[in-house]
Amino acid sequence: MNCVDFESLITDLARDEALATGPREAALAHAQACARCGARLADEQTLTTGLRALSLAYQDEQAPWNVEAALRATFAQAQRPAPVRRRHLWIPATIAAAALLAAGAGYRMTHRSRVAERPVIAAVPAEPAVAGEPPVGGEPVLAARASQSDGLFFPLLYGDDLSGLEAGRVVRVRLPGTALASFGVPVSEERRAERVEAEVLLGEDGLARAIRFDRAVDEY
Amino acid sequence: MRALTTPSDEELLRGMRGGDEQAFVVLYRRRQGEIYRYTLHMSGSTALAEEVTQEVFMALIRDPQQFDPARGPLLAYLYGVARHQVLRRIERDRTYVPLETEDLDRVLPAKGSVAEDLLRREAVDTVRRAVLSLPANYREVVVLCDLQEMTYEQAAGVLECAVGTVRSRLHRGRALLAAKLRPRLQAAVAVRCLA
Repeated sequence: MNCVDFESLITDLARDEALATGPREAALAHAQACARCGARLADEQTLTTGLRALSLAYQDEQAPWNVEAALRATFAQAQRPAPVRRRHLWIPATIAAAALLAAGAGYRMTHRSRVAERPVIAAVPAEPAVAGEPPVGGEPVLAARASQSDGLFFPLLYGDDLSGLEAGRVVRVRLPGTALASFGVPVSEERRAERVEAEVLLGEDGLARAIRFDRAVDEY
Repeated sequence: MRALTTPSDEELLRGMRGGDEQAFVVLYRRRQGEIYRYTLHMSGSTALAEEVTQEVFMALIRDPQQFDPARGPLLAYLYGVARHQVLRRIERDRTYVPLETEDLDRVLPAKGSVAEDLLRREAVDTVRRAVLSLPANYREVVVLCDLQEMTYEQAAGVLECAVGTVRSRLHRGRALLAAKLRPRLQAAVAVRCLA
């Protein structure tokens, strides 16, 4: 075996990859006979030791808990039935929209001082967020009450009644801006690349039940 | 032989497509660590690793049809999405702040004398920085083959290239690493701090 042949085998040799007995013995014999190749093999073996130490040091690293919470919230939201689209419904829909706009304009004229409420299906007040902890083993932090205008949680499942929720946990999450669209929130192009902060309400069973964004949905 | 009660990744994906959240959770918990560590080794940034891990599984939720079983296993697909995301972000941001000392304290708990622990941490940190300094095409094969312990075939599946390409890049990447690390690692090994 010459130095070129040895070099072609050195990575497998140093990484303890399966090599046929013949080439392995020939390569080891060459490393003993050639000082330069012997030093190369020593370097490669030291490198393998260093890389294994690095791999071992990080072997228990995991994504933090809030990533799972955010994903479960998104998954639950994705299960909501999509609105049915039918052809030829645009004419009555347009007429209905025009009627609603006219009614809305009239209403605003007569109730200018009243602050409009955001449309929600149900609302639950939030407790301080518990970041980075799984929703097990902790104290129940949430008692569900409906119909508050601040700190609104949007149910993730269509028609889910949060008022019956007696206990749960709130975890803080960060979502890509693109995820807002799946919650039905209109989001501008420049906001899509940003991360948005939200809180996810987990029920006693650990399932994501509702989400609340830090900013009002019309600020996106 | 795999136990009958342990569903494969692909079976969990089918359950997920059917709306089974538990199937998604099992799949996520099984694979998130690998994806997170791959991204962390590639970028040196815990924040980026967190974001990319989330994006990978978010993509699976949004569009599970993107995975084509004819092109390889689901794990290779997840790595592929992570790779695309991390390379794009590295290209965009160029530089990342290396992991702080506190992170090394967390991943390398004390287990010997103070001097030995310091040397061991220094050695691991030296290797980590050297890996991060490699050009991306060499770094990714070193991360996949040496840190994630993939076979050449598995790495080739993730990188969508020939096995020979993986071999040659790994050879070149390791040669670059060995040259960078020669004096430091030999000193570290001399005091047996890497054992």
